[in-house]
Amino acid sequence: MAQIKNSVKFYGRYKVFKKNPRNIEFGFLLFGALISLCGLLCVDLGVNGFINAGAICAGAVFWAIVFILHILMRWRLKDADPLILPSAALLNIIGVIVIYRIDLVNNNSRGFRQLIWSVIALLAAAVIVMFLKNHRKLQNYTYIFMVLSFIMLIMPMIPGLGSSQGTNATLWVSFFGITFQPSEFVKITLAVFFASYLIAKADSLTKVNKKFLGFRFPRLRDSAPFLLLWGVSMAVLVIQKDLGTALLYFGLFLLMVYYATGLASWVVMGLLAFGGGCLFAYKYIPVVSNRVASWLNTFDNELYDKVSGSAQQAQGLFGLAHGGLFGTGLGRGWPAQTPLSWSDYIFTSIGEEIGFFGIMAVMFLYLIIIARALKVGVLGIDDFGKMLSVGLAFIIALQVFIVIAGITRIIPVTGLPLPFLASGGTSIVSSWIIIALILVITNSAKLQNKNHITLQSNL
Amino acid sequence: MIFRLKRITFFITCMFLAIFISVFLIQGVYGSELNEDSRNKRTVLDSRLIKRGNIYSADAKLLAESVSEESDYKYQRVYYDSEIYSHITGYFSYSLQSTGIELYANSYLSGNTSSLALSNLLARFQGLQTAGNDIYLTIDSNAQKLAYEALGDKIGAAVVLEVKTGKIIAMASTPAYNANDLAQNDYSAALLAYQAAEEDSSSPLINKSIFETYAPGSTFKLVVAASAFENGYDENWAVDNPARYTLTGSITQIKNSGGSSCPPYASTSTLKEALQWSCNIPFAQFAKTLGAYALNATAISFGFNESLDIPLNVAKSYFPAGLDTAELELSGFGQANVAATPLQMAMVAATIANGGQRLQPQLIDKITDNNGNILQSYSVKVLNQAISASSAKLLTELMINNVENGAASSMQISSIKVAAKTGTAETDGSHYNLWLVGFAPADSPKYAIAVMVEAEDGFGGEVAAPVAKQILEGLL
Repeated sequence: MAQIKNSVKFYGRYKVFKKNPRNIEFGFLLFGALISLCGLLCVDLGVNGFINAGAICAGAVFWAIVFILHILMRWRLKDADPLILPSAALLNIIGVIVIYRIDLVNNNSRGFRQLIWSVIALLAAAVIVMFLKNHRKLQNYTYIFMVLSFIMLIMPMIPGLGSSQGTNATLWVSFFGITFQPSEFVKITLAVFFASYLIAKADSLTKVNKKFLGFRFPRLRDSAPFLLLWGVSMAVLVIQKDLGTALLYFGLFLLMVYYATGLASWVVMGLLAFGGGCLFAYKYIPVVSNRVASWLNTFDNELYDKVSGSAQQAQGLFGLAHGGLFGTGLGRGWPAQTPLSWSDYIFTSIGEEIGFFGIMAVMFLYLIIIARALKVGVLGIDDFGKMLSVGLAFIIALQVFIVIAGITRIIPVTGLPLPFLASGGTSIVSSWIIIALILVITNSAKLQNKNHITLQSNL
Repeated sequence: MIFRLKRITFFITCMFLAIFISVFLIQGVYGSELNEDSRNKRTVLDSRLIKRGNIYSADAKLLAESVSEESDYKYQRVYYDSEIYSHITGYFSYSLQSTGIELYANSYLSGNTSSLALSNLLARFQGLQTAGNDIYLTIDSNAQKLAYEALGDKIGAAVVLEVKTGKIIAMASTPAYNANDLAQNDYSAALLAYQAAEEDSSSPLINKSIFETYAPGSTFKLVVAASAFENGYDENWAVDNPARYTLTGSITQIKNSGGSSCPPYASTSTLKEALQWSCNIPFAQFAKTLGAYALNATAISFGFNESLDIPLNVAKSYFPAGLDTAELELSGFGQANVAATPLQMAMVAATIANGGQRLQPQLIDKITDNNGNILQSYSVKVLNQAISASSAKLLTELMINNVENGAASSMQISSIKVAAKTGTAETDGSHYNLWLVGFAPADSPKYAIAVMVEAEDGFGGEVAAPVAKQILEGLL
């Protein structure tokens, strides 16, 4: 039985003003804008010695749109978490500034393009903020999300529609001159599908199960649909050779199943399957054995000189080392020495110029978003919201980990983009959609708390 | 359950901790190692922004500087009187591997050492152009020019050390090359010049005074004699004096140069006489009696088997341990497996001249910043007491005797006492290394010298000595 108590306490006008999350958010947005302005000035002065007014205007336009989003939130999502939007916006603009900095060397305009895509992403986020008041509406469309995921996954495999953009993986779809990567959106639709399905079936998965080898396993009848979708996703990704995304989905799947059921058996099975999959990939997919060799022997001279050898990774590491603990200073390093320094290796480009302490601060921006989204798991009221929020947080966390671990040789390189920072239209749009969803969920969670709504919760 | 969330949060924390640590390892711990990797062009690119420091001789003659030019490279390295100095300065190139002082003092010249980091940073804030540091060598420009010209068109090397300080006053190697050809910014031209020099059979690119070792021949008798004095013998130690001698345990016969017994018509030969006339057979016997252990010990105390950094890395001179008797006898007059760089032999002479005390040879006198403030200054460094002062004195007397009454008579310089030893080492039937090792003025020594000439025939006293004489005359 839901009990709604109208317990909005009366605070003095001053106190209400102080505690309004939107005001906190406003303050941080101003701060972020200031930081990015300083960064842009450093880049212009460091590289060219003079200031480019056009760039400042472009940055101002970006922040203007962010502030518009903020106003939208004052209207529609009053209680959403105040730290997430500024962190995301700051990450986004840092990415644009560094891509712009590399443009100055390569005489390109990727920075501008990234800015345009950022604006589109913000618009997409705005649409969600405007029209999705309550995340629980999404639960109504569970199976639609399942079908959507499937369609988007196989789109690049349709001849005529798919293209590989010159890489060795067919990940893109292009029409009317715009290319986008459907797998970036599938991770969101999959997360929504898994969240709502797992929540709906959580009881039967957890409690109705068979014992085998000391572990408990759910019935096939319950687990079939999502196992199927998951299996198909994996197969499709392997065929498309998009192994980074496969790793991401795998991790997401494992996490959500564990969170929903608490069954260690899934985790163990999953890890075993993962191990098996890795071995299979290593033996039968040449790209994988290439990447593993490059991971283990990055500095080997022969590998370095080979085409598609370890040179790119080595250069990225050289760049990071060149920056050292304090960085070379914006505009004063040589990030462009590394191939694809604006996308795959944006991390080393930033790390070279702002140093270890700088890049750790950037990592903290990610952690803020992740932590605030995880908080819903603690303070939230409804299971679906918790599940989805934790799932989305994990997508970001795992993706960041996979990319940076690949760059720093903890694991082999995978080709995933760093959310918000790396150049790539689809990536930034999907990242902002995730942010918008998290904001909606935090808003609902806060509202539910405020009104002391209690529901039976298993999580 | 919140418990599951706690585990999940813990997992995420671990992931991020792993990333923090790995990035720290790269940027902090392994940073300098990665920066020194030759495939990392970033430090080279950085160096283009800074005016590289100048190189001067001890008497402030400008040997190398970076001249600004309108190009991507911003500066062109220019060398003055390059043939004379190129083996010492080396050349600085963006595309070819740098050599010489340009390589070994690179961190100072390019302004990269950490002690400069703070001043660089401050200078940048003030908008001052940062520049590298200047190197002042110990080389004296007059001495170096003398040495180079004295060698002329011979293939060889000459090293002059200042006895009391260990400073390298001159270090010439011929034939030489022009560093400007290799330091030019035009990569293809530089590469062509490099390849041409590499193919030249007389190895113009190699600094023969420190990077090559040669059989020292009779100049090694100085080390044997020193070993004898250190082990209780004196100059009157006498041995049999046959004209032919069969190596112990072998059928090979050795002879003295000249073919007869040495000194001629005497039944025995003393150490003094054997040194004076540069006799091989007596010295073979001296070496045999002293034994491998004692000879090895003396050689090592003189610096054999030890690699030096001056700061250029000097090749090791060899006196192998564990020689059998026949090899020992051969090494008694500097053949078989003994090999020395000209610098090593100069150091032997300098040690004898300095009362047996061996000093570190130094090539850099001082390092200043581009405003002339001294950052580092050279100081005398004692390596060891190679032989006792009395042994050194005795040996000095014998070496003076060589010049006044013996095989090194071509070293006589009017009004100056010279101590010397000649050497003629056979490398393979038709090639010889001709040596002159010595110091002057012998009563209060200032300079020690070693000259080595590669030739098809001739004697040390005829070929190497005049070169050394010319150099010493010019200096004193």
